[in-house]
Amino acid sequence: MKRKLIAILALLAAAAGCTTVQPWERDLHARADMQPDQQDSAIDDHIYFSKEASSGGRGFAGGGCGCN
Amino acid sequence: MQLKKPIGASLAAATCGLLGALPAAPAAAQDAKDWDIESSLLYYGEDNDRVKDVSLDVAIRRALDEDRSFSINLTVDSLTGATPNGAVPTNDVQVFTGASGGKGYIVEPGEVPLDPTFLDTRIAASANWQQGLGEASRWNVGVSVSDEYDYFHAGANARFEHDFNLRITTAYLGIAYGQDDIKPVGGAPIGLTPMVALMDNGGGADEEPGDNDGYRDGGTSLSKDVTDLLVGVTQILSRRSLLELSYSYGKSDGYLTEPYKLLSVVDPVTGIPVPGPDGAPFLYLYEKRPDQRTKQSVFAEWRHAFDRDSMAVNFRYMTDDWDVTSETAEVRYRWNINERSYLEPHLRYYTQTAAEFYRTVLFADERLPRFASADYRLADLDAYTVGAKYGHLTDHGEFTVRLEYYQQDSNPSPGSAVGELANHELILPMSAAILQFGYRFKF
Amino acid sequence: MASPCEVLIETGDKDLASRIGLRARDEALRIDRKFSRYRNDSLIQAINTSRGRPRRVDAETARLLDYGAALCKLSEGRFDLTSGVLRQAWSFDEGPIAAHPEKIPTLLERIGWQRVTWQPPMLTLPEGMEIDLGGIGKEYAVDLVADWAALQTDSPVLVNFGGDLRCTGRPPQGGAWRVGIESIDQAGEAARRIELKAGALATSGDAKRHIEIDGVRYGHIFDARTGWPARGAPRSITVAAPTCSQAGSYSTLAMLQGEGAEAFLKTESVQHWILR
Repeated sequence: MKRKLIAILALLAAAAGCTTVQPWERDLHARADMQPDQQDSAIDDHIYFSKEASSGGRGFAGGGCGCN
Repeated sequence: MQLKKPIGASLAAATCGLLGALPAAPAAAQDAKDWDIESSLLYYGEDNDRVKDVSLDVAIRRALDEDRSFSINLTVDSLTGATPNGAVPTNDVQVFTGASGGKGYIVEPGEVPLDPTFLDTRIAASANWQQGLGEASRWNVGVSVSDEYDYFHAGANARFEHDFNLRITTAYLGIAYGQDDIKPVGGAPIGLTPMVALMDNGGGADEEPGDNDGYRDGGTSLSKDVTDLLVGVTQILSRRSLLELSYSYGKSDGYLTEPYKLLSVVDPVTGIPVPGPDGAPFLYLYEKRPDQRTKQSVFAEWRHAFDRDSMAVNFRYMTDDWDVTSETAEVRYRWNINERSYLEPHLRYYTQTAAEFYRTVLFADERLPRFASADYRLADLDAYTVGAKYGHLTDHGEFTVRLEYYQQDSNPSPGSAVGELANHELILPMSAAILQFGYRFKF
Repeated sequence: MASPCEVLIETGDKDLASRIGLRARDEALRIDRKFSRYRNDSLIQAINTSRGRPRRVDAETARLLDYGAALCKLSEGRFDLTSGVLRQAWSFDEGPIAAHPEKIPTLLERIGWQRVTWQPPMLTLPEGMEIDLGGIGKEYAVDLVADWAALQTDSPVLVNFGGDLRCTGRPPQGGAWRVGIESIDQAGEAARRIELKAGALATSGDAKRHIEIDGVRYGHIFDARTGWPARGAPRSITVAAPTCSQAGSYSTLAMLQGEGAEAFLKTESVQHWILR
């Protein structure tokens, strides 16, 4: 289990690589659709937290609730 | 002495002489819009008369200057509908004491027992403050609180981010702490003790639980602490892509059991529930979960910009000391139809393995386990979501509509379908529709 | 120009960005050299040392003189291209600000566009008088560069010479250029933030340079009729207009109205931001 975690992290970290991206090449990253939607994420996280046994992911799961 | 006549036309003429021509369009300038309001109205509905939820979410964000901002979030949601109580179907009528300990409900033969007495309105609020620290760092602190009939949460969170290499790499570290108080009406039942069923013709709120019914002396408040730690990094890979990786660790301590959920105790051969105490037709035990849970998860998201569109793919792997492991994968594709509208289809796949103490039924001849729960959400399950979001920008704001379909299938614990249970569906598959309307504007 | 100048362009075309940047630099330097009071080889210096002899000026200088003359008329004499000599009474140029109000009456005799003989292309400047195009030169340079850039490309371009700026082409990604008006209390902090989609912004009033006499604060834009800065002038005026020259003229003329700055700009129906 632990090994799987480490393997995934290592693989993805390696994929990150070392590219030099110049400041003037960052135009696409500034686009609105490249930013994650915070409200939708929070709403989805809450729904899935109530219906599944996992929580969070990108950020904190947020407050708990008595969701049944 | 003030000038009496407006000089605009003369000035324009003079400027035309200086430059040879004037631009056709007037100047277009306005004060920056510091307030950002985002609201969503959500309908969530499951099939088979199960849970329905209507919620309203409002996020208010204000930028104070380039460096500082705060946000406030308010959510109100109203939950109705029935939810499985953990017992399995039988060929007979079953009668249960409701969540409130008073009102009971009847389940027809062959039906998976659903508790229809859940009715709750929850109000949640949170506030966050973000501040820059030097050129390359930011910190964010916040508090959260939520309240519903039988549940109260209060928490605080903090996060620190630092940019490296002109923000090609950003690392972040976050911590959150929450304390939740659970106040089941009538007190929480002692785990793995029998539920006292009401008489068939009873079911009124005036029925008092008996002395040996497994309830604690009423009104006890139970609590749990949740601590979360998050560490991650966002890395720009190229002009078009970035990758976000994070690891999180969470620990819950305290009362983690669902106070209203049960397990049926059945004969290991016939599959018929054995009789309960005090002449009750069937025996049900309240569930009991450990008082500690440690979760770890790894999350990765890759976001990619095409010339017009973009897409995001993410993956989360979670494991915990209840033996639940889960894998989540999600894809979103943003199709920017034109400058003002977009369509974003979405797919999510989720799978989890059952908690170590998950049991669909207990057998009358086995030794009582230390912990047991028949909550379908702790079972071996697969779920997928298919949906799409449509957005349209006007001069004043952005409208969105989101429609998603969620389907979940759980597997009973192995060996559960003994005797007559083989003829019943022990866990109901669940499907739900999500419809969300959103409006976001700045001023 | 004595201020940082920049050009922002949103494009994937490196050559285009280069061309526009270089052109901006070349024009700024050219105008600076031509009209600088400090350079011995500048045209303005030559005019100011002409000792009353008539001089032929080129077409560009003629247009600027006409513009200055128009502003003088529109401001009823408050703005005057010949008021530069007043710096001898208020020395802002080097070191601490020195105020010599006793010199003003004498200086006023060397001020007044009505004393100048201007018959394009011949300019006759009486001895002892000076022409100073500092009040309009920067905005003019911005407009020249912006007009040229607009002919080269439709891409979003912003020309910013020391806070006098103008944009051309489409609005940038994000919908608008974000411009901050510098706070008068905290240098480097934005007191107000503006989103500019089209046109120009010019700001008058420099919080860094002001004089205080008997508890009354004065700016550094002088009313040519009196030799003093306008009483009760705001500390900063920013105006939006289609061209930088117009924006600059509005803000300068508004500053010369002193206490009446707000009323003046309101009558003119131009968008403005005033910090007092």
